[in-house]
Formats: sequence, C-alpha cells, structure tokens
Amino acid sequence: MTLGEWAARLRYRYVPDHIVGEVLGRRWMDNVIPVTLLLALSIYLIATIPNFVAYGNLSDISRQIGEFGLIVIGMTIVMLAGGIDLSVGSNFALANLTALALINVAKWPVEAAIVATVGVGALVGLINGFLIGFLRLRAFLTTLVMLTLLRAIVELLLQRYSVQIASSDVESDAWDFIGAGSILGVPLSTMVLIVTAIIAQIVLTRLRIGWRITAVGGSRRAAYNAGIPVRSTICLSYVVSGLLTGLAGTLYAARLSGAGPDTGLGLELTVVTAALLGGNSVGGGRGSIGKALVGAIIVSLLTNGLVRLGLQNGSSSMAVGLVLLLAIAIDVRWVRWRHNLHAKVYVSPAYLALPKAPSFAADAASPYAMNDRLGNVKIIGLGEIDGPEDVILDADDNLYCSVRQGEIVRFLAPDHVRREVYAHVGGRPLGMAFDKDGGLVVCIAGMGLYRVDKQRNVQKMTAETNRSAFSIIDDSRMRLADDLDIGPDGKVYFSEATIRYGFEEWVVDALEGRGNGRIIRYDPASGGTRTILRNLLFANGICVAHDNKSVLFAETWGCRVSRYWLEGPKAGTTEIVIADLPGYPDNINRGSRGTYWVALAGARTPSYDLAMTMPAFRRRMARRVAGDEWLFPNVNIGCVVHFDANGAVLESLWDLKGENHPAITSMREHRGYLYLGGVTNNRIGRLKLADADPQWTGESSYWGGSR
Amino acid sequence: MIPFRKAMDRWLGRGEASITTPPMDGAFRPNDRLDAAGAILETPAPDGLAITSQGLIVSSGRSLLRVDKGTSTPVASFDAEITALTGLPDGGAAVGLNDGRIIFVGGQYDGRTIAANARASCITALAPAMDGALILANGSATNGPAEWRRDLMEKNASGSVWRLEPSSGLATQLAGKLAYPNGLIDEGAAIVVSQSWRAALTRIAPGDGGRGVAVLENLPAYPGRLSRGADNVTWLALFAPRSQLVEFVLSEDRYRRRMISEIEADHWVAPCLRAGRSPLEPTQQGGVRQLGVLKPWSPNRSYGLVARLDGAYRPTMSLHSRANGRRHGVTSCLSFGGRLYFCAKGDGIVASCADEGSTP
Repeated sequence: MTLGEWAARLRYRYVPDHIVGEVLGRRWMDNVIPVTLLLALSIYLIATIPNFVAYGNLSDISRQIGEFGLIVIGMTIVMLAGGIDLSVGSNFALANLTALALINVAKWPVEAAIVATVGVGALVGLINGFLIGFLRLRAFLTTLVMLTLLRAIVELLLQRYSVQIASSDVESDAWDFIGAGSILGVPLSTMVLIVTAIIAQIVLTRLRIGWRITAVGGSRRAAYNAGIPVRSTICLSYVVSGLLTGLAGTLYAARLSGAGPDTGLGLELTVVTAALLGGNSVGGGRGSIGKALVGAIIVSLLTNGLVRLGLQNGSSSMAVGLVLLLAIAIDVRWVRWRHNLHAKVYVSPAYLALPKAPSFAADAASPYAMNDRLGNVKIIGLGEIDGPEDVILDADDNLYCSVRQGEIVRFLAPDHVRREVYAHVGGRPLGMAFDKDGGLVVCIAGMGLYRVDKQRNVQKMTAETNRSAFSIIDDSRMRLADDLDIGPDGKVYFSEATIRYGFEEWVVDALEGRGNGRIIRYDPASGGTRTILRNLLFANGICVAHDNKSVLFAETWGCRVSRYWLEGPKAGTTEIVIADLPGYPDNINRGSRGTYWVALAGARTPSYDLAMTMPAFRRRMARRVAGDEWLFPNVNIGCVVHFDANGAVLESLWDLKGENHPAITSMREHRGYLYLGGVTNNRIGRLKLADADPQWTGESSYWGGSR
Repeated sequence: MIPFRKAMDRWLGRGEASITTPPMDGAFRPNDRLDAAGAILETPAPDGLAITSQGLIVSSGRSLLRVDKGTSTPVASFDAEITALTGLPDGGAAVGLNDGRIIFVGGQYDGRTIAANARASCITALAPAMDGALILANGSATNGPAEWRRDLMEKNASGSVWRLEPSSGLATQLAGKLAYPNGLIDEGAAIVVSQSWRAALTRIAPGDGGRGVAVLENLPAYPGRLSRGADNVTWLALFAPRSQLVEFVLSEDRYRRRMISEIEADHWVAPCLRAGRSPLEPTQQGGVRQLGVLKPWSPNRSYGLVARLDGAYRPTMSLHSRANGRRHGVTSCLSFGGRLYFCAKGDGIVASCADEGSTP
C-alpha cells in the first residue's frame, strides 16, 4: 500500500463526513443560527454590562419578555398560517388603555377587567380574521389599516381619559400582584408566558387545529383540497393573536399603570423581527413556539442591553431594524441554502478496499469459472411479473414471489402457469420466509417486517427497533428491510440494507460503500426488536444455518458472506465465511445435503473496485455526473454460488449472456430444482439440479420435525 | 482574476470544468437506420473501405476482402495488421500497416512498399491528394492504432498529417500536435482532417503553419474516417460515443493514471467499439437491464454512428445504432453506386443501405 492510500484509508475511517449531511438534514438545524445568536448576545452582554445578571435586572427583563413573548407567540401562530398581523402595536396600546380605564376609572373588579380587556384584544383579532379569512383581503394591508385605525382610537380615548387614569389610584392587591408579583421567584408575566407557550406548543404539535394551521400556511390550496376549513382556520389565528396581545396589554397595564401616546409604538416591527429571527418563516407553514421564544428573548435582550449600554435613543430602533433585515435575509436564504448544501454533501463516499477478486474467466481453475448453466432454464411467468426479488415455495409446491407493485404473487402447482395475487402488502416486498405456522413473513422496504397468515391477513410484526445512542439520523425506523430468516424458536433475523437511503436510492448507497446496514432480531414471543449487528456493507441475504447455531449473512458491497454465532463458545461474535466473492452477494438460502446457495446480483469490475478506494473521485462523480451515467457494478450478469457449511465454494452457475437472468437476487432449492428471481427481472427461472436431493424442500428443512 | 476563476471552476467542477457532452439532437437525432441496413459481409473487425478497380474492398485483420453480396474473396494478405486503407484514382489501393509500412495494391505502383517512417508509424488514415501524392494521418507519436484508447486516456495530442510522394517515398509533415487525426479528405488547396479526441474536423491549408481552422466542432461522438460522396457530400464515421463518465474520468487525473497502470485496457472506463463483451467491463447505472430490456437511450461505451455533412461540413443527417443495436463501432463509410456502405468494426459486419443523400 502506498503512503497516499494509507492516508486516504485513515482519513476516511476517522473523519465522519457523512455526519455533516445528516446534521444538515435534521429539522432542528433551523434553530442553530438563532440559538447561537442568543448565546453570543448573552455572553457579550454579561461580559460588557456590569450587574447584568443581577436579580433586579433579570426580573425586569423577564417581565418585559413575558409581555413581549406573548405577542410574539401570537404573531408566530398568524405567520404559521401564512399571514401577518401588523395591528399588534395599536392593539397592545388599546388593551393597555382599556385595562387602565376599566380598573382606574370605571373601577371594575380586576377579574372582569382582565376578561374584558382580553376580549377587546380578541375582538380586534376577530375583525382582522373576518376581513382576511372570510373576505380574503390582503393580510398586510388589512392589518396595517387596522394599526392606524386603532392608533387613532387610542389617541381619541387618551384625550378623554388620560388625566383620569393618571390621577386615580387603585387599591387592589390582585392588580399589584399581576404587575409586580412572582410565583416561585418567577415574575408573574413570565409565568403566564411559560404556561401559554406550553399550551400553544401542545396545540400546534399535538392537536388537530394546530396541524391545520400549519397545513394552511404550508399550502393553502392543498389544505383546502384536503378538506381543511381554510377560512375559519385563518380567522382563528388572528383571534389568537389579538387575544394574546390583549393579555400582554393587561400585564403591561398592571406593571406600569401608565397610558401614553407612545405605548406600543413600533411594537409590530419588533414582534415581527423576533418571530422571524427565531426561525419562523414569513411565508407560513414553518415555525414553532420554541423559535418564537428564542426570537423574543434575543430581541428583548438586544433592546434592553442597548439601553443599558447607554446608547442614544434612536439606536435601539436602528438595531431592531438591522436585525430585522438580517432575519429576513436568513429566512429567505437559509432554507434554500441548507437544502442545496444538504443535497450536495449528504452523499459521502467512504474508502473501501476489497480483497483481490478471484478470476472467473471461463478457463480459470476456480469454482467461479464462468459457464452457461443458467443460459437454458425453464422460464416461469415471463412478462407477467415485475421484479421478483425473492422466490419461495410452500409444502404444496406453490411458488411465491415478491414483486414491485407491493404484492406477493403466487404461481400455482404443479406447472406454475396459473397465477394469482396471494396478498397485497404495499411497499416494496423483498425477502420472504415461511414460519412454523405456515405464515409468510415478508421484509418490506419502506415499511418493515410483516406477516401474511394462511387466511391471507396482513399484519405488521415490527417497524421499529432500538435507536442507536449516537446516531444523528433517526435509525429506529426501518427504511430498507431486505431479507429475513426464522430460527427454530420463532425469532426472526432480518437485515436492513442501509439506514441512510430508501429502496429507490440503493444505488447511492453502493456509491457510498460505507457500512450503513444492520441486522435486527425480532422476537414474536416478547414483541421486542433489537439491532444485533451494525455497520454492515449493505446487509442483504440472511440464512439460519442448518444446525441452527449461527446465522449466515451477506454484505453486498463488501462482496463477502459472514457468520454470526447464536450459540456455542463463539456466541455473539462474527466471522467471515467467504471473504472474496467475485460479485455482489444478495440472498442466501439453504440447499439440500447441508449446503447453501448465495445469489450474486452482479460481477465485480476492476474499474469499480479501483473507484471504491478513491472516495473523493466518487464524491465528485456524484456531484458532477448525471445519475444515469454513474459508474456502477456490473449487474447485467447473474450468478448463483453453491457453498458448504465451512464456506468452501462447490460450484457456480452463470448466465453468460445475461439474457434470462441478469442481477439474480434470490434462489430457492425445492425438490431437486432451483428457482431463480431477480429484482429487475420480469421472469422466474427453474433449473433441474443434477446432484441435489430430489426430496429436499425448505419447508421440511426448517419445520419438518416440528410440524 | 481569470486564473483564479479557472482554478475555482476546476475545484468546483463548473464553468469550463463542468462535465458536459453535446446532446444527440438536431442532425444527430437518434434512429435505428444502421441496424436496419442490410448486412453484406460478416468478417472479424472490418476496418476500412475503399473503391478500387476490383470493386469495393474492405480491410479485415491482415487481409483485404472484396465486398460482394454474400461472399468474401481475399484480394491480398499482409504480414501485419492493416490499419488504414484508401482507394487511388488509378484503380489501385494504398494500405497502411500496423508497423508503419505502406504497401500499394494494384494500380501503377502495384507491389511497391514504402518503409516505415519512425515519426509517422501510427497510420490511421490515408487519402489520395489531387496532385497524385498520398496524404497520411499519423494518429499518435507514442501509441499505435491498436492502442487508441490509451492515446485518448493519456490525453495526447501528438498526431500529425504528412504528405508522401509514392514514387520516391519522400515524406513532408503538413501539420502536427493533432489530437489523434483519424480521417482525411483532400480538397485540393487544403486538407480536412478529423481529430478524434477534439471531436472536431479541422481544415489544414499550406499557408497556415499547420495550425488549422476548425470546420466542425462539438461532435457527440469521436470522429473517424471521412469519405467524399456525390454532390459535395461528405460522409463521416464516428466510431465511439463521447460520454459524461469518460469526460469525467479524463478530468480525474489520479484515477485515470491508476486505471491505465493497474487495469487491463479492455476493462477501462473508456469508449470502445463494442461494449458488453466481458463482465469485467465497467457499466453505468442507466445501462442496467430492466425487465429483460436494455433501453436504447442507456449510456453505453460503444455506439454506431455515421453522419452526412454538407459542402460546408455541416451535419445534415445521421444514421445510428443505439445502445441496444448490433452495428457498433463504425470505423469507415463510403457512398458507392447509390448505396452507403459502412463497416461496423465492433460487431464485425459490413452492411449497406440506400444512400438518400446522392442523386441517382
């Protein structure tokens, strides 16, 4: 090995490139910029302003955040539904004035005054909502007009009541508590915010109405087509915004007991800034309460900090304006940028040096020497089936295959001419096995492990396994369950080819050549699912050994067959059985006389083997060359390899021209015949085996004794 | 700024460094007319076609054969592989051999041998000049004609065009630094030569210092032999397709060098005259057989393509054998007696179809 190769091997083993793409793919990545900004701002303020973290100041800031945050939550809900509410500034002033007028002047009881104030806010929201939701006016203009109108009303009212408000005194402990009280050391307004945030979070993420709001914002037309009452949903979002603004105005009134013409002036801009900066989309459909809170805290800290830094009066608005510009830019660019970057860096090829391929030239003195034994097979179902990935036969000689349409097709014995859809399972059914009770257990790509019982009822066995501790992508769901086998105790061992790609993208996994696959065990008795082996190079075929003491499995990109010990002194360990196949192994199945069959879906090519040792080459290829043009393993040829319990290869059967059986993905021995399936083929092949046990069936091999 | 941008482009694979190939469109719109043509002769690796006093002849391995309907009659055999063939105005033929010799068959110089010229021993094409001399295309300074794939993958441009006096054997170089000149037409005042690796036709005039002017560029396949038909029509055989993958490998120097040094040439990621002969050959994702069918549009390393060019060397029409066709690797084509003859070297077939371009 050259120094360069050695360096490449080390670099690709220890630098986890794939994590970048996985991190970028997570939804929480949207929060990274706001949270970083928040942390940086906090550190800066704490470092530059003396006593910034003192209790008095924090309590003051958190009271402000409490009021401000409520309005930001309201704004976020409106924005989630695809709208915007600019009237919050005046609405806030109106609520403040209403609360003070009712309590100071009209001397209403505190509870009634609060309800009335919140009601006024909600009423304003309802007017907005009616105009925008039902009359379908533009949100921006409507709320802008509402902003001006309410401001005018507030000023008219102020002329009448400001002196009375200022001159009267309120003697109410409840009112004072609302303004200055704390619960468990937390200011009341902050407490109100926390409770509101929790409720809003639950409503938005767990309740139907929350989902509807997000759906309407995501795509109004699609939401309408899905039967969501779009108009009332939009209207409701404005009512919530108005209601929360009213509540914030009440808290403000209780805290400051002052009504002036500049109350809530410019508030709408600050609120929009906070909502956007937290990562909520102005276009709707994307946002959360957490984002709203982060944005609210940032903007509050910023405006507060600037005042405390002793900057001039206008500088605070200017800072908010600049931050708003930044937030809009991020909102517009971030999603697209992240999406592009994610698409570019998600595919991250790894270094994979395969052992030297044995020669399979026709004149080679190896068991892999090419022949044309599969060139002349009996064809079953030509053109009637689409991609029989796996084939299996039952005790009555009926032939089952799993096809692309999400069906299990059955060819009836004895001649396998008549066919029927045995069961529609959905997804892309792949590997199959019969269990003790004659139920057909199926691995379905995109779905998981399913079982079709003898009455043809389809039931889910498992679709979820334990999540790995340090996995960034959610690997608890099964994306590409591939092949399975069943032990004598009923436990199902099945492979998941890759956790990074779905079935349609298996080609990309080939390009990556990383150990993305795993083997999972499902125990029907306990219902438990556990991952027992990870980091396999496209875990594919799997077969419980004849003696039931181990499981054989194939790693397609690794071109090898390994054994996982279930019992005995080596239980729990893995050893390689065939290290250097000349092609890409797919399913493994038992044969008669204690042997095994493994299908080779394609042949190794020197150019691809070389490319597998050059990850940067493959990464550039993935980015610069169209997918159809990618260099690829040669799957236009098929082969079946026969081996014994020790991994000694007995013989190989090739289809030289690749006419009938390119890309063989499965084979089953049954009563002296071998049946062949292929994931991209349109036929099943049947071949007479000369030296097989003519009585042997898989059924009897697995369950002969126990039935 | 410019060199900086070039480096950026190279690093990011965009601009001039982006991997693109011209689409098969316009005059190169695919059809299956090569596959529809009637086969005349099946012989291993038919390479060149020429009209002589004995009729149409084809070179195959070390022999010259007559192309008659259904029969193959050896005209002459040599002790080395034939790499170029042309008919002469006097009814004879000139044959270029693998070792660089040129031998005349028939005509006034019958039996004459011109010894190999060390500077021009990769004879890829011959053509008679109007003044009685012979024009010779020397594909590469370092590789022989059989190693054309190596020459491409080494990104060489060391070919040259020579003028040869049949009587004295005197050779003068007309142009150099050509990227595998592989086809010739003498226009009298100038010579048009196809440069395979530049995918272009270039006109070389005596006065321009051998630099040449491009007359047709951006071909979707590698151009080979040229022949003149009736009505000033030129026929161009394009022997292998350009593909994104090959262009990409050409831009990847490390992979390319390791491939050349570690892998057998037949299994390179490189164009060829017939793909799919060995399971060790590279395949591409779009070339996977689906439901027993290889799609005609699938990317392939071999293809069959003949183009008809008008008097200004603009392509006007083309004949194809697509990925699933059986007439790949067309190295020569010739219009003769109202029919278009071509030899698909990759599939060992000489075939003909009606020449729609010529007026009867």
